[in-house]
Amino acid sequence: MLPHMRAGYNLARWLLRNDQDAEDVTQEAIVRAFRFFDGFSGDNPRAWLLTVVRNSAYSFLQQNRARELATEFDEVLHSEPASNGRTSETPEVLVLRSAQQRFLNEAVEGLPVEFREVFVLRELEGLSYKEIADVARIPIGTVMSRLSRARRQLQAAVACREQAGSAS
Amino acid sequence: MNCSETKRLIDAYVDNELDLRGALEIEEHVARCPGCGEEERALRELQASARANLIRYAPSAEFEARLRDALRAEGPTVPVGSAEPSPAPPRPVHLRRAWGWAALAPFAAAAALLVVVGPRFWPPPSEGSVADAVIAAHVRSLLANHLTDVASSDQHTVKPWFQGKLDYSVSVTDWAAEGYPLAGGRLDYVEDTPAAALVYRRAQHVVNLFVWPSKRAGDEPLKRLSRRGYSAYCWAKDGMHYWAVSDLNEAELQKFVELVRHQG
Repeated sequence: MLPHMRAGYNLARWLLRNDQDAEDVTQEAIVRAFRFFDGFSGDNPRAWLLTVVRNSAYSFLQQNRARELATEFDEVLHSEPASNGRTSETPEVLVLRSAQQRFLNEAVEGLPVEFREVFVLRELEGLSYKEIADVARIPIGTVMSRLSRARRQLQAAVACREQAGSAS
Repeated sequence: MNCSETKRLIDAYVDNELDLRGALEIEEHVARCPGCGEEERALRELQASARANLIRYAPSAEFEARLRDALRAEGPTVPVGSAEPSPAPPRPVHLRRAWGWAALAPFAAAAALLVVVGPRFWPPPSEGSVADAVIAAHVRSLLANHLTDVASSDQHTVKPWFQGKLDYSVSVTDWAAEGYPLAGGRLDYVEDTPAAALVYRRAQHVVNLFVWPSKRAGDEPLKRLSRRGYSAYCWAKDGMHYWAVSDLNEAELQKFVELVRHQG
């Protein structure tokens, strides 16, 4: 179960964009999941745990940061990513991260939460469309269109940055 | 396949979510359309960049310790186990049972390991993820109305069909006399590896038998997994992986698996 918890924390961290909230939500979700574990009869514990964490993260956003759930796509992309402590980064990670890496991570953080979610589940967790559909409770067609829009926005952000880079 | 259809499906294409026929049509189109070809290249570049660069946030050791305490506090019925790393139990045949909360025991030790290995570590595909991929391939073969590339009950037609499409040889046997007639063969992909899919029928049910070369040396014993109402048996023999997937009942699928395992 441990790797699934780590995946759960990673998802919460991406959805909530700060360590403290990610820890609180992950803990609450996992303790609750744990309580009901006996009743769990599915055969994909990873997807199940991700679903539990994801739902807790969304409840948290609804209660504390409802604005983030209601933002329009284009507004958010160009807004500043949430500033936060990044205590979970190890020194190796900091060394590895070039400016380009930092830019990509910030661009993903800048996506609206529904789009960030499918992108992270796909590229970091490697989930199939069907699994993403189950975790996020959306039809597969919506998975496809959100993923596609998220990618186009990221590509546009990268292109925009490259242009700015070559102009200066 | 035209440009607008390709644009609609190209994400699913780079994610390997299309069935083989759909994938081939897109592949053909992007090969001769520069615009769509560029789109594919850009998508793959973004995907590679995301996989290499996105941060995998790891919980801190303090948080994992706190979580462990919280789970302990859930009460005496909770089989958390000791905090000391315990020797790994023998791998059970039923994967489902391997996921116990007892796995929480080596929490701290594993956390330390994760920090050392770093967030860019990708584990090799587990049986679970292969099972997902194989069952997804089975479901796709039924959904897309694309069960076979070569429809034939003649093993001497199906076997040569794979030659030239795969760089390994697949033994094909028709089990009609035993009640599992061969329906044909299909080229499929399992976790990016080309695999031979042999299709058998049993009454109204379909059995997909996936075969591809094993990367690991040695045979592997028979295991059974289930997902979303489908059963899968897997094993490795003579350098090949075998996965039999179906919605058949256990006894009949097991009988089929035994036939295949003891052929030749």
